[in-house]
Amino acid sequence: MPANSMPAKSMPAKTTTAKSTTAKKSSFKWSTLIIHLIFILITLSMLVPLALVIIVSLTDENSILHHGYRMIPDKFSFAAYEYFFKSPDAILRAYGVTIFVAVVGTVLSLILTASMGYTLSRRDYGLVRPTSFYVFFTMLFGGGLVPFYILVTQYLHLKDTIWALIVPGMLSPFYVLIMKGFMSKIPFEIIESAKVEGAREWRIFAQLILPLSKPSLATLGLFIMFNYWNEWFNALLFIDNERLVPLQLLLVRTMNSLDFITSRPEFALVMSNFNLANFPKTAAKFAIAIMSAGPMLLVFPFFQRFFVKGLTVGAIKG
Amino acid sequence: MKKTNNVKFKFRTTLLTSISLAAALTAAGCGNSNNNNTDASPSAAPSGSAGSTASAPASGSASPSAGSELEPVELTWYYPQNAANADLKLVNDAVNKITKEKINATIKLMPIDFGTYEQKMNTTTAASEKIDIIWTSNWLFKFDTNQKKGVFLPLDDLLKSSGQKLYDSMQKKFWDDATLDGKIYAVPNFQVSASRPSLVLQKRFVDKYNLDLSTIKKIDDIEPFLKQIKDGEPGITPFGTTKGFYSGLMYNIDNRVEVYRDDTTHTVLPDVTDELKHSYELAHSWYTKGYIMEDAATLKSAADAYNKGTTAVWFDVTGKPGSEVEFKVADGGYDVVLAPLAQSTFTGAASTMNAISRTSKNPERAMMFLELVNTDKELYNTLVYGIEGKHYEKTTGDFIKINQDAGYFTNTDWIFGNITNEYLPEGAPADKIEQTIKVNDEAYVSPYTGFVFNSEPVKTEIANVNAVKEEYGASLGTGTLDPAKYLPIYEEKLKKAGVETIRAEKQKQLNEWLAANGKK
Repeated sequence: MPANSMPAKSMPAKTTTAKSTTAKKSSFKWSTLIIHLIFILITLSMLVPLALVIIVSLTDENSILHHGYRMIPDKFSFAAYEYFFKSPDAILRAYGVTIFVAVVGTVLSLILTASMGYTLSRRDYGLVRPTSFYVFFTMLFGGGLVPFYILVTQYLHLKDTIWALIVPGMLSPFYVLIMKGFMSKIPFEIIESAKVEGAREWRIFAQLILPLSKPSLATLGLFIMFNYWNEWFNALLFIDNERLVPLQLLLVRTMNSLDFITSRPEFALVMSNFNLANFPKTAAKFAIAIMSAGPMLLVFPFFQRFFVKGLTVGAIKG
Repeated sequence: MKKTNNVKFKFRTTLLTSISLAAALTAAGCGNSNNNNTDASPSAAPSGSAGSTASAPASGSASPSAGSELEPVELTWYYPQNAANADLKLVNDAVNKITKEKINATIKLMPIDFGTYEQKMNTTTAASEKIDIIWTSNWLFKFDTNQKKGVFLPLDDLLKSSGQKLYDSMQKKFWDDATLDGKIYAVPNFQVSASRPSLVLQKRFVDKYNLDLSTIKKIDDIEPFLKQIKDGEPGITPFGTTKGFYSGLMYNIDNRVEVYRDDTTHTVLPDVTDELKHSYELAHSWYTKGYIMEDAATLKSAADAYNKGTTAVWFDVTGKPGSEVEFKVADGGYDVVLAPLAQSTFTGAASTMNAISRTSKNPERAMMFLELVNTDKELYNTLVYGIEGKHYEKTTGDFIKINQDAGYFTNTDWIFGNITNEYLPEGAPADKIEQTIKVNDEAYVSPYTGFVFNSEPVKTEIANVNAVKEEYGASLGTGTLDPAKYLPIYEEKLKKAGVETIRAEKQKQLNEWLAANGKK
């Protein structure tokens, strides 16, 4: 029957396919074309602004003033980058501080987040609910800026140390909850079997749970790293020592000051020697964007494949 | 499933207890921190005053000269700067060398970027951090609001005990601007403190069309010139403006409170004066004739518009003498000339001041330091220009050549103190200091100096009125809207927002002030 039916069925199919494939092929082609076009458009809509940012950062300031932003400027100039790298010490040190903070902070933060998340994910842990509540509570209520400032400067004595950039960002309750969500999906039996085999808690955590949680570790790791990378406000509050200024604060300061100076003509006038006309103000802003985002743009693709698995806040995961 | 249920049940009680425990703990925590806060602030204040009473005799006895008799202290000084300086530490050491010798104190310089100064200082002062000297002004880290918050220490006694020389170095009208509630709270930095509404004109066009500046007496007189530009210079905006070009100073209206200068009845004027109406009408006629750029009302920053050098004329409310050089850089590098439209008016010294913090442990030493900064030429110039031979070279007389890339470049002489002590950078007019003093001396001083309008009773009305002004002000001011049609609507809305209540309150307070000061 099946052997028979196959050709029998395929016979009429062939005639129709001859027709329908051409029809199908053309319709297929159209739909893929449209889908491709849509995606090309989406991609372009993301790439073109980025390209524009790069180009503007390399455009001569006068050309921007006279013609606005252009994909093909009539005059290129490295003035904006020259301004920042005029004294490379400062910016290189800032990169160093940022990289140190991002790496050390991410590692410490991941260890903390994972251990806390793991504890909360263990349903045989007696204080799960109060602990979860405690974590959750901090998401709803914050002390505010001034108590935070007092805590860090007067109780923890972190002012003007690199730890002022690392410690406040080390544990985010939201990430703990994500981590908990992921880890509670790990079958409890694994832990039980490990126990039967004689493993103690630390060993279970380090050798079973952490390797199994790689996707969420990678995802959260990236988030945390972004946070550390983009962090400037704590630095603004707590860092007076120029040697500890991270990249983002350096750039934020430059940009704020530029805005500040140029938005107040009366102020620009007070500063008689500040040569506003020759300063690559607009290009500098775009150069700032490139310099601060650049390294992270390169890091991002390496984490991307973990994203789907790593991000599930509770609920059911497919 | 069952197991978790059991676990749940088993620990329901624990949960309850722990929640209540947590609540109790947080409550206790709050209580604690509250206590700490309330403890901290009074303790800081008494310690300050205790310090002043304790060492006042000491400083009194030591004040003749010898700094070595004073015990060594370290002071901190927060002030805004344009950018970080690599050699700050070197300069700080040089500063300390001078202060150590003269008042046996060292100072820790804490420059903060202009863009972040406000935020940083708000946090540090709110946290009652120990600071000695804070830079303040009426435009950044505002003097009056922060005085109300209690950030600054009253200085009258300190000025008598350790800053008499400083007090004598400035006229009373400067100190008046640092006075709130009858007490001095800051030390003004002497600089140009006068304003003179002026037209700024590009010299190349003035020369081309042979404009006689002496014929420009009021703003209307510039119209024929604008027409010449419109007709003869394609691509050039004849008149640049963003918010309009009205200033009471041009129409003999006082700068402290809206009263005609020669008005013996001291009547506070309404928001929309006849002069303002005239200004709107003029703006609209210019706008329809194409003298004002079309997007004037929505332009965010006037500087952006002028920077390109494509604006022939614009209005500047300060127009201080000798500022042509400074306008040049803001005008794409084209030379400009000024056409003053009014006599210059003393606008006050509150634009840059140094105050002593309430949290200072050594207020009288901070005062001694401020006196030194304002009277000691060497110290002041070290702060402004850095170290001689490294950051600048002396040329002839008081002139110096600044090396901008040497590692210390402030460009903000007005932040630190009295600019009459400064060396002159190359290119500055030789009589800059004499000019500054002259301008300040000759400027018209408002008889209402000292009157400060307390906006508290009409806070809501002010917010409403400001919202209306936000909506119509720029459009009417730049002439985008026809005043014949929209001015009545605007006035009606202002009225609804409570503009009359504000005026009445202002009048009431002014009358009280006049009576209290024996002026009426």
